[in-house]
Amino acid sequence: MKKLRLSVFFLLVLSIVAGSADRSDASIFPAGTVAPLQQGIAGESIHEAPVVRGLPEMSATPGPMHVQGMQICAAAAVRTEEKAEGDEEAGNVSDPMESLNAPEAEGAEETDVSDDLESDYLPEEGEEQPTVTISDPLEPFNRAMYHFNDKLYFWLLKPVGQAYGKVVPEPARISVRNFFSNLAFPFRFLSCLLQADFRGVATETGRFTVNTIWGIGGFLDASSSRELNIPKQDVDLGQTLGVYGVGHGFYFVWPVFGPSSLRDSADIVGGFFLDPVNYLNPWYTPAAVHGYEAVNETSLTIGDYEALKGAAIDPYVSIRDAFVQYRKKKIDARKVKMEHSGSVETQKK
Amino acid sequence: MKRLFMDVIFLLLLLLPSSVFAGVPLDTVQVNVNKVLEVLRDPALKPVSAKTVKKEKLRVIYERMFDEVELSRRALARHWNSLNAAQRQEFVHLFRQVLENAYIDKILSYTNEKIVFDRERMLSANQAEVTTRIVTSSKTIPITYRVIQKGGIWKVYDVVVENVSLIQNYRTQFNEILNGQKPEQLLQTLRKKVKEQQ
Repeated sequence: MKKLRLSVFFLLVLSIVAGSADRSDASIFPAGTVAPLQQGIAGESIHEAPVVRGLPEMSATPGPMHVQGMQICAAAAVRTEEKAEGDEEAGNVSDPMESLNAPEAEGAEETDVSDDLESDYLPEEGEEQPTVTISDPLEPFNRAMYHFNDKLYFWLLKPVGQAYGKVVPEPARISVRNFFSNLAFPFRFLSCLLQADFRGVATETGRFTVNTIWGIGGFLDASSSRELNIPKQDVDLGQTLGVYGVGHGFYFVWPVFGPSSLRDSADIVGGFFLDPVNYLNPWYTPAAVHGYEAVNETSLTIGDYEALKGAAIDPYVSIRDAFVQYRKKKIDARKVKMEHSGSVETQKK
Repeated sequence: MKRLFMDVIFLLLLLLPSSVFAGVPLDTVQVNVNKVLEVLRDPALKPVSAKTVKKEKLRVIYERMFDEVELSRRALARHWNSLNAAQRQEFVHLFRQVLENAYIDKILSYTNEKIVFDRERMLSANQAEVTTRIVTSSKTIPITYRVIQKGGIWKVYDVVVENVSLIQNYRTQFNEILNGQKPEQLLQTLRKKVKEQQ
């Protein structure tokens, strides 16, 4: 028994030494086995949750989890040691992937551009999944709407936003943003509720109460202050549908509202009912208030759209892709969060 | 037996910091970003007339920080293989100019925003992701650098801003163009773009 313990200890020391001697510690592990697991153990803020996905039984049965996780770690440690020894013998053999990508790069300080140019593109496993796309059957209409919104920005919103920004100091504009963000509480409340995220529901209710009362009607985001630290839930209705597996449908550019899809239009339609501003009288007040909100927001983000457009070869395609990527990440983040909190709760039981 | 488990777990905990916070990719990115900030903050380069000097200095840092060829190769993806050597070289050159013209003003307009380096995550044996944030008075912008190791040096091959990957964004655009047209026509489009930007 004691001998076993000693040998395990020795093994681990070896792996530490091998780890720190290597150029990059995690690279000694076969990609995707242990590195994510370790992160899962250490990861306070890492929600990728490879632990949960890789070993689904773990969350259900806390007992065997440690055993299983440990066996893998121990196995990896053994492999590490073997690999380290192998490396020593072979005299620093580089990874196969590396040699594929840059055959001449070894030892050379600066990568020789002309040589590197010759190596072909090889899709690799560790890379992002093939480009996410969205069907765009209404492209001619969408392009027209894109141009309309583009002109709306450059001819109206931007000049007005700039003038407004010169008159109203930035802190005041941020307060106005907070106010409107606080007003959008029903969206987040309902989204959390529909996602069965009751912690989120409670958080949002708490935020709304705190910000409305102590934040002077929502002008100050008191909840996000360092003392309270109740972050805003990054949720909306389109995302909620996405979490439940509803696809985009197709790409759709709304006049004024901008890039959206069939699914994400839920927010635009839902807005008519959920946004308190729309219940104001007389009939033109909502439009005026939303116009002001848009000007305020524009004044805080001048330059962003210009940069995006300036960098694009085809701005329409670039924005469409940015929209798809952004929405996908937002939904994925939520899914991971749900899985994560779900597994934590089962473990507690 | 239980004692043994405890020991092993304890030792594994000891092992964690060395692998999770190893930090070579993160350090590399941080060092380069700090160099950029140094140039931007340099009081001697404050006057408008020093803009070209500033640009020149930033270009040198860019070359050290980014793997241009990798960046271009990934942006074109499978279409990269249908370009010949000369076309590839020109593409890398043009793509770099497009990026430089598009972002240089944004970078030069830097005014004391805080940059936070959060963590790194290994994507594979020689690829990693470094998460950072730019904190301004009105917002926080998450920026992730994807880095690849070649010849012992970590270089950036993709930048993810607000969850949107730069490379993937360009890949969609280039794909759209190259699906119906020849590489030469893409180069022509890029040449036009560079001219427009200036």
